[in-house]
Amino acid sequence: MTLRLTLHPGRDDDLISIIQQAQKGQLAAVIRETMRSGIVRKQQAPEESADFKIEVDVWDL
Amino acid sequence: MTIIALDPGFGNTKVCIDGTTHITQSAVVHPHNIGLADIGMKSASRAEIVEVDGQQFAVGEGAWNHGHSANGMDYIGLASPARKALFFSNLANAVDPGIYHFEMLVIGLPVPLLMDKGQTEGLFSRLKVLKDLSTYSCEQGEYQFSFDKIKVLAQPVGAYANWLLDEDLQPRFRIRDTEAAVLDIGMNTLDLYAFQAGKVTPRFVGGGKVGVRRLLDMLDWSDRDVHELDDQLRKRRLRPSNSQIDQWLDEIFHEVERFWPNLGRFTSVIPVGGGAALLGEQLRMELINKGAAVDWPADPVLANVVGLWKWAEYELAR
Repeated sequence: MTLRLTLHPGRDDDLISIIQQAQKGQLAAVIRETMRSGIVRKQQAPEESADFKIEVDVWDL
Repeated sequence: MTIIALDPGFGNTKVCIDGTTHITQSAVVHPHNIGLADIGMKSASRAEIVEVDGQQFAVGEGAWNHGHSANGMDYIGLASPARKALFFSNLANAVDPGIYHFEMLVIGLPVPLLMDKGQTEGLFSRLKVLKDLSTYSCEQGEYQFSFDKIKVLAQPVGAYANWLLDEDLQPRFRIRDTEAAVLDIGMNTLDLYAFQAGKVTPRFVGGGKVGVRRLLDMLDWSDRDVHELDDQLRKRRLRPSNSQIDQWLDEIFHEVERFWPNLGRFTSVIPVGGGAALLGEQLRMELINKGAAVDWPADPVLANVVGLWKWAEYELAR
């Protein structure tokens, strides 16, 4: 099956970035994996636990 | 300190204790006594018959065969004896018969409820009765439960904490770089909640009444109990048409786009709730198609309650 993709800057920035960064010969594999798993945005390794806090409303009854 | 987390959904009632989860379908009825007529007969289901503070209930799967629903499907009812029966039936699966004074109960409540100050004041004062000793009996034996402290959070905080904290309760990511969105499709409502660097982003908080019940309403089976229909749906005995699923998904995304016009801005979108489990791959692909980086939890139904427990354990250890 052949696939033709039209990507728009702004709407498809993540996909454009993935395609631009794909190594030679890996483009189809990268797109297949993205179709299967979605875009995974890289997130940094955790900081020190002491800095971590979820600041949410808590009601004490 | 023993922490109990409770996610009292209208589809399922979920409890987490020591990291272990227990779940009961939120079907609860006052059992209809048919006297001698049931001698020698097998009942239509194996719902559990329990007693809370002197009142008898049938709870869990098949309860609808024993009488009329005692679950009003409204928020004020969350503190009623019927809802306590669902909660305690889970607790009784976790501990042996006896008297238990638990130190802390963490309850996750729906976002639309917490946004309605009028309703929350009444509910909070009712929930305080859980601090008093309640009696509960079931097939395993007799129990008494009380809770010293009760903390209430928004349900999606649980999904967020579950995503952020690993099994050892350590953050998996550098929190200041994250902007995560929780899409919680429950029985009644869709709850949308977002966190930027660990803080709630009010402009991305919202939702609507497009939970699983909206799909059930489209099906012309009005003579059935809503939990019976839900049970049929889970077992794939009730199969909505593709157009009904598509319509439901459209209504969900209509609400999503009102509050989250650009899904691509979030580092992760976390789908949870029974509705997410039901829609599965179709929901995941729709989110991906709209630019979301989807982080599907191991179990969308249990993600909130596990995370509420993780949050409490983590905050206490600080």
